Amino acid sequence: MLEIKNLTKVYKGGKKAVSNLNLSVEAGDIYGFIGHNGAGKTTTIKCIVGIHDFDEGEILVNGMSVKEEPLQCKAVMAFIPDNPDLYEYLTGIQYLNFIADIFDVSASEREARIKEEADAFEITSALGDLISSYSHGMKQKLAIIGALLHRPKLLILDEPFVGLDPKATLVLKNKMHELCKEGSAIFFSTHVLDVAEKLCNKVAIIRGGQLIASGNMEELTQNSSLESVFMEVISND
Amino acid sequence: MTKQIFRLCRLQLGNLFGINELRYTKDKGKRARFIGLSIVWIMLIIMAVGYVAAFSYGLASMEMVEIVPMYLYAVASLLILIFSFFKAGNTLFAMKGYEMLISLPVSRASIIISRFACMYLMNLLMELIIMIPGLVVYGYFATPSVAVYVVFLLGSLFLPLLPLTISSVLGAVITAISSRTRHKSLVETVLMLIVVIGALGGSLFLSDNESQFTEVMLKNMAETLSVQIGGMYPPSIWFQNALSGDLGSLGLLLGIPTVIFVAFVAILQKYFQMICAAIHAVSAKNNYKMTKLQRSSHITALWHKELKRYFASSIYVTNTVVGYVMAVLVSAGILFMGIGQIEAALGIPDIGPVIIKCLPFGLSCLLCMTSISACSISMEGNTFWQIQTLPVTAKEFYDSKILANLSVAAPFYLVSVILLGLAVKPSAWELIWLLVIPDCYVIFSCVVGITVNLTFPVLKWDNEVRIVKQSASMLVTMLVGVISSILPLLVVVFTGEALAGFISLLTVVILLAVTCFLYKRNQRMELIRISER
Repeated sequence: MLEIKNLTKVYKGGKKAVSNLNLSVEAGDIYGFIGHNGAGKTTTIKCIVGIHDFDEGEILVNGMSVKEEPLQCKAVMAFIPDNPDLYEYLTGIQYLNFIADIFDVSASEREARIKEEADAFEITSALGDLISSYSHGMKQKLAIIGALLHRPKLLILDEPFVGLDPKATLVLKNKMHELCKEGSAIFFSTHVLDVAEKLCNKVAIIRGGQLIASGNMEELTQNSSLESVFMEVISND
Repeated sequence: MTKQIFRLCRLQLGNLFGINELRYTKDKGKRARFIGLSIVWIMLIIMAVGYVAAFSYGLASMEMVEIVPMYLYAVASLLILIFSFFKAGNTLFAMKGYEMLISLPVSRASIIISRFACMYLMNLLMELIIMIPGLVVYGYFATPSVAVYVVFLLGSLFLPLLPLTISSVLGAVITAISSRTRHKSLVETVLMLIVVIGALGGSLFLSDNESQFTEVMLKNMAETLSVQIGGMYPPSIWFQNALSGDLGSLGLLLGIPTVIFVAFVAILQKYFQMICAAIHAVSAKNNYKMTKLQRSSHITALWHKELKRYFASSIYVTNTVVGYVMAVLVSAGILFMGIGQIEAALGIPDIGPVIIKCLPFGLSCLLCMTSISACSISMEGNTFWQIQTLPVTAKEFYDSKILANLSVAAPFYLVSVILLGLAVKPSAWELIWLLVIPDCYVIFSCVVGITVNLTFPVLKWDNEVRIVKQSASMLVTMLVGVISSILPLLVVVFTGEALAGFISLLTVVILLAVTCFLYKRNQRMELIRISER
């Protein structure tokens, strides 16, 4: 579903944020992407979703190149950033309707999905209010609902659990599992290693823009914890 | 406290002009754009200095040198009032930086005074551009003593205090009124426009007196004019009297603005939190029930979003609608006065037909004075990631912005054209040009706005004022619009009505060609490239 081949991203000024990165996410995977602050997680994610251009390599989404067929890639993808800066001048329902319009979701489908997801995240009654009146957590919930509206084949999340209350965290985890059962793939960055260990079937560790470990969670951790593995590879490399 | 104020001022000023970013950026393109924009600003300042000097020289050569200082004092005060009116409230009561600063060991008074001081410094700069050329001309003709220069400079230093305080108070009052209504931004926009139109009306009154003066050349006109200006804005007469050596007037000139400013800061310090809360209050009903939802096309959805974004910001609306409002007001004025009266006021016989031929360009100039699209990309700010990650083409994105601009401009354009049509009773060809030329200019201005904003995008900002009032995009688009409409107007004036038809046709052809070229060129700019510029 997502294939990253030799990805290299150099920022203006010469800083190499990601260097020769390779990884592959398959349908049904919940893939955790972990690393220190400034390791290159967000840069990689931004290259995938079309926020950043990249200098070398290739990113394929569902077999399509994000450079050559960006619209087709975006149509099957959804992205939730760590700090969801949404259109504060819209109400929650206007925002969701806008997203549904852009993803060409039919009127009946969008109504059913918005109701289902908004009820699950318990924000239905707030949908008529301006987003500017929402708390950080409510904005995060709205961004998640917007991302799930078109049932994406690839869901990309950057630190998705920051700001979510425990119940919403559980709902999101369940939604992630549901999506994967339907054949989608999920790729997300996190600092919370416990969550990654319990939720993901695959994991990649990045340091200084380079991938230093990746693979199946069970193979990587074996009898140890993800935290121990992370600390070990980070200090050894 | 003084140290705190100084540090906070330095921080704000560095951010205001983007100097800090320029200092540390390694992006050569950004540096080149900054240098280019600085050159444009320097040229504009030189033009303003030249205009003020020529104007002052004109008054002096007509033996009116004694009213030069007070006239410029009143004009500078009015300009400060209008320019700071839109941003005073937003700059003073900005919550974002305040919340961070108040958690540090910084006093509330330091924050308020530093914010005020930054606005003061900006306005002082603008004021000096007006006052110094006037002082040079005044000094040359009146050959005053050294004491007069000292009083002149003292008066100039204290000049911004009063208009700044007035505009801050007005801004706060308007916000307080609008925050109690359901459509906060709309009410705020209407009230702001009323104040600005009132101020512009006042300035027109000043210039109207001036035209009567040059025409009639009454011997005691200087005295009459100084009484009128003094009546409208008393500090200008105090300034005049202080220059003549009246110490009482000097005391009033320096004392009154200082007392009012100190009182304002003291009151503001007490109620600052309350005013901020009123300004930034958002109501939430939390009672939504799912209803039927309508499906729209990409472009309709983007266009509706763009219009909602526009009307949600009173700063965006008031700053970009001024040209359109002026177009309607001037058209109404022409209908009210009639071409005959304008002809008489200009004192040039048989100029009426040329004026009619010039009207489409004059109207275009006003309609192009402000452009909504010129800052529409920058206004996306930190939400731009959204558009970048959605399956939206660059064409759809830019088209929605052009459509939104056209939707706002269309009613003003139509009303202006109808008013002018009624005023001049044009021939069939004149009516066609009156309809076609401003129409082409509005479309041209929308497309140029996108082109310029793609060249100077600013997506990282704290305050909308920086984008709407102080951005390179707005300045360059305005210059392009005004210059491109003034040039053919001047050609028509100098060549007379015989060539007007040809010039109109040529202008329309050139405008359409350039518009099409830029429209196509804009579409080649992918959304992913904008944030990396």
